[in-house]
Amino acid sequence: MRRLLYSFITLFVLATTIFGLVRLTGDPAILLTPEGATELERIQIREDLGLNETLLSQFGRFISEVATLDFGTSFHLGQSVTDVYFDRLPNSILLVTVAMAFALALGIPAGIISAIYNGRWMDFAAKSLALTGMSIPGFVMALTMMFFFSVKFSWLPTFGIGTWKHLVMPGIALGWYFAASTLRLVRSTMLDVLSSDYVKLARLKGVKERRVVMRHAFANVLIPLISLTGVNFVVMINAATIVEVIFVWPGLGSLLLEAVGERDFPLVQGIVVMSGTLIIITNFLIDIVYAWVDPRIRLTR
Amino acid sequence: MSISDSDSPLETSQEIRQGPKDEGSTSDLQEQGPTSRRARFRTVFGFIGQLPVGSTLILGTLIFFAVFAPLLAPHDPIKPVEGIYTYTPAAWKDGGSWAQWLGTDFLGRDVWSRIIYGARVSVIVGLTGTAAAGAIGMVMGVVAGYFGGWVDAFIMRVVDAWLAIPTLVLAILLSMTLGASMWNIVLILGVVYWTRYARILRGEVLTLRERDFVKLAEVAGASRIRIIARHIIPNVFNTWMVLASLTVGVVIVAEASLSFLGV
Repeated sequence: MRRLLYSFITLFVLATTIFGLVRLTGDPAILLTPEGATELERIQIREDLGLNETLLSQFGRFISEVATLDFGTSFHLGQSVTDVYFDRLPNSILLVTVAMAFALALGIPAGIISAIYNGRWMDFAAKSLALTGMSIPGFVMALTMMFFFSVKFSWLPTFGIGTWKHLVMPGIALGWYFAASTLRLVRSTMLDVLSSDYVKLARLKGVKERRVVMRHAFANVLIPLISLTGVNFVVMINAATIVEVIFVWPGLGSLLLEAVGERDFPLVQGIVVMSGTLIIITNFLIDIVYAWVDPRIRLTR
Repeated sequence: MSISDSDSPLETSQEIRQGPKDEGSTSDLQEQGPTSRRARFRTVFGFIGQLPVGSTLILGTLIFFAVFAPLLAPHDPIKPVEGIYTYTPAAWKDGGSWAQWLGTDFLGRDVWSRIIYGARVSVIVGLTGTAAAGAIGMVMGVVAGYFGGWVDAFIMRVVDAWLAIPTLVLAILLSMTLGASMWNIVLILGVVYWTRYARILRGEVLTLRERDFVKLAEVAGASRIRIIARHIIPNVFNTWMVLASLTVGVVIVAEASLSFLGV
C-alpha cells in the first residue's frame, strides 16, 4: 500500500517536472506557423492550443488529463496522443525484446564461462567481448555495422521495419551494451557461489560438474539477474532513442525526440508520463517474479 | 645578581632545550634523509609500477593530447585548411597527402587536428560533467540519508521520477532551454546523472547514521553540518570515487551521443 502511494507521488513529481521543462524550451507557435506569419496568426494558434491560459489552469488541465490517461491532441500530428503512443509501443517492445534477448544470450554464457575459467584466456576473451559493447557508443556501432553488413555485403537492410532482417542490427547495437553489465553480474555472483560450501559438498558427493554449475551455482544468479534485467529493460526503452533514429525505427524513442524538436507539449508529456507508468508497473512485476523464482521469498511473505 | 641569576638558568635551559633538538633534527636529516627520499621515490615509483600498463598508456596518451592540443595539432580544428575546401581522403588512399595524413572532412577541416581537439573536449566534459553530477548527487544523497523523513522521501521520489525520463531527451530539453555551449552541456550532464550518486550514497549514509561514532558526535553536541562534513562525507568518499570513475565513461559517451544528435 505504501509503495502504491509512493508510486503515485513519483508519477506526480514526474508529471510536474516534465510539464515545467517543456514549457521552458520555448514557444511552439513559432514552429507551427510558416516563416512570414503575422503575430495575429500566432496568437490565434496559441488560443487554439490552449497556451494562452495561465500556467496554473494549464497545469490543472494536464493533471486531470493524467488522471484519465488521456493526454489530448498532439500539436503537430493532429492525432490523439494516446493513439500515437499505442501505435508505436509494440514496435518499441519488439526492438527492446530482441535487444534484451541478444544481451542475455551473449552475457549469461560469457559470464558463466569467465567465472569457470577465472583468470585464464577464456575469461579474458569473454570479458573483452562484452566490454567492447560497453565502451563503443551505440551510434558508432550502428554505423559500422551498417557499413559492413548493408553497404559492403548487402546482407541486411539499412533502415526501416518489417522482416526479421530489419531487427538484427538495431538489436545488436542496442543489446551489446547491456550484455556487459549482465556478464559482470553473472560472473561475480557465480564466483561467489562456486567457492561456497554447498558447491564443494555437491562436488564431493560426485555430482557432475555440469550439474553443479547449472543447478547449484546458476540458480543463485537468477535473482540478481532478474532484478538487473528488469531495470535494464526500462533503461533500454529510453536508451533506444539513438538506435531508433539511426535505423529509422518507428519506436517511442524517435517519436519522443521528434516531439521534443517540434515542441509538441502534449505529446512529450504524454509519452513521458506513460513511460513512467510502465516503469512502475514493471517494478511491481519484478517483485512478483522474484517470489515465483525464489521459494525463500515466497515463504517469508 | 638576581637578574643575572634568573637570566642564566633561562638561557641555559633554552640552550639545553634547543641543543638536543637541533642535534636530533640534523641527525634525523642526515640519517633519514636519504632513506626517506628513497622511500618516497619508491612509493612514487611503486605507484607507477602498480598501474595497469595498457590502460595507463591509453589514458596517458589521451590526456597528453588533450593538454597539449594547441601544440600538437597541425591545423585549426574549426577552420578549413588553407587552399582545401572539400573532402580529401587519408594519405594512404588515392589522392591523399601526408600534409593532412587522415584527410579532411567535407568542409576541408583537418581530421587529425579535429581528433586531437576532440580528445580535449572529451576529457574536459568527462571530468567536469562527472564532477558536477557527483557534487549534486553527494549533496542530495547525504541530505536525504542524514535528515530522513519527508526530505528523504521527497528527494527519493525526485530520483525515481528522473529515472523515468530518458536521459538523452532530458538533456535535449535542458539544452533547448539553456542553449548549447560546452559548459552548459557539463551542467546538463550533471543535472541528468546525479541520481545514481544520490541513490547509492543515501543507502550508505542510512547505515552510517546508526554507527556509534556518529551517535557519539551527536551526543557530544556537534552540529549537523559538522557531523556531515567530518564524519559522513569522509566515509562515503570511497564509494563516491568508484561511482565517479564509472560515470566518466558514461558521460563521455552521452556527450558524444548529444553532439551526434546535433545538440
